Amino acid sequence: MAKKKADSDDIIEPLGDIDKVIHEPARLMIMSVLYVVESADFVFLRNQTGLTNGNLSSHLNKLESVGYVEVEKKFKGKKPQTILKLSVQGREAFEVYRKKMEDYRKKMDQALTGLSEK
Amino acid sequence: MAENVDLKSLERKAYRSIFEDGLWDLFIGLIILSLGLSTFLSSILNWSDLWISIIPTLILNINALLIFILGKKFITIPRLGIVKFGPKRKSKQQKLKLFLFAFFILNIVLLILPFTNLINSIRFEPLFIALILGLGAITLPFVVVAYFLDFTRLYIYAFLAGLGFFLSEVLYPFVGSPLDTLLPFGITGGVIVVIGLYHFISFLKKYNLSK
Repeated sequence: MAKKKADSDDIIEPLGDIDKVIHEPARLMIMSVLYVVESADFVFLRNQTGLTNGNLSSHLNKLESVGYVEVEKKFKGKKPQTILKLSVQGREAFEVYRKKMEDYRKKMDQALTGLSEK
Repeated sequence: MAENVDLKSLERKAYRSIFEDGLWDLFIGLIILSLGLSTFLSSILNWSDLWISIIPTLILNINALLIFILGKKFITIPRLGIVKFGPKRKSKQQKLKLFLFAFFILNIVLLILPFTNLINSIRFEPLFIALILGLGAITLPFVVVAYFLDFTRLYIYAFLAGLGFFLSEVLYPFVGSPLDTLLPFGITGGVIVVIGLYHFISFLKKYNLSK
C-alpha cells in the first residue's frame, strides 16, 4: 500500500512545480507563438492565437509582470505599434515547462502501461 | 494535450501566413501574363524595334511590383501584423539572396554568350533550346525560390511557367506569332492571377480590420 502511494506521488508531485503562469491555456499559446519567432507585434499575435484584444492584453500584462515577455511600444508614423518578444528568462521558463510536461507525460504513459499489463 | 504543442508546425503555420494574402501569386501571375501580353501588344501595334517592344512588359512589370509593394504595406501589414522570424529562416533568406545573385550573374553570361564566337558553331534544335530555357531559366530558379521561401504554391507555378515557355515554341508552327506566346503565357499567368485573387479575397474576409 505504502509502495503504491510512493509510486503515485512520484508521478503527481512534479505537477506541483509546474509554472502556473505558463500553464494557463491562453498564456501557453502566447508563449508558444513568441517562442518560435524572434518578435511579433500585437496584431500578429492576436491573429495567431485567436484571442480578443482585451484577453490578449491582460495575459500579456501578466507575462510582462513576471518578466517573461518584453514589450516595446513605439510609433510608426502616426500609428502606435506594440512589439513583443520573449525575454531570456521567458525563453528559459518555457523550455523548463516543456521539459517538465514531457517528463510527466512519459511517467503517465509508463504508469498506464503498467496498469494495463496488470 | 494542449501542453504538447508541436513547435515546428506552429512556426511553419505562422510563417506561411505571410503568403495567405495572395500578393505573391498576383505578382508572379502578372509578370508571366506580361510576357504574353507584351508580345501581343507589340504585334498589333506593329512595334518592330526591340527597345520599344519592351515598354509594355516594363509597364506591366512595374504595375505588378507596385501592386505587391503597396498591397503589402497598406493591406497585408495592417491586417496580419508584423513578425520577425528566427535565425533559421534568416539564414535561408541569406542563401536565397546568394542564389538570386548567382542566377543574375549567370543570366548576364548567357545574354553575352550569343554575341561571342564560342557557341556559333553549335547548332541546337529550337524545341530543345525552349525546353532547356523553360526548365533552366524559369522552372529551376522558381523551384529553388519556392524551397527557400517555403512557399508551396510556387512549385506549381514553376512548372506552369516553364511549360508556358516550352509550349510557345511548340505552338509557333500551328498558330504563328503573337498567339504562340499569348496563349501559353496568357493562360498560365491568368490562372495564377485568378488563384492569387482567390487567396486575396479569402485573406480580406479572414483578417478583418474591424477586429
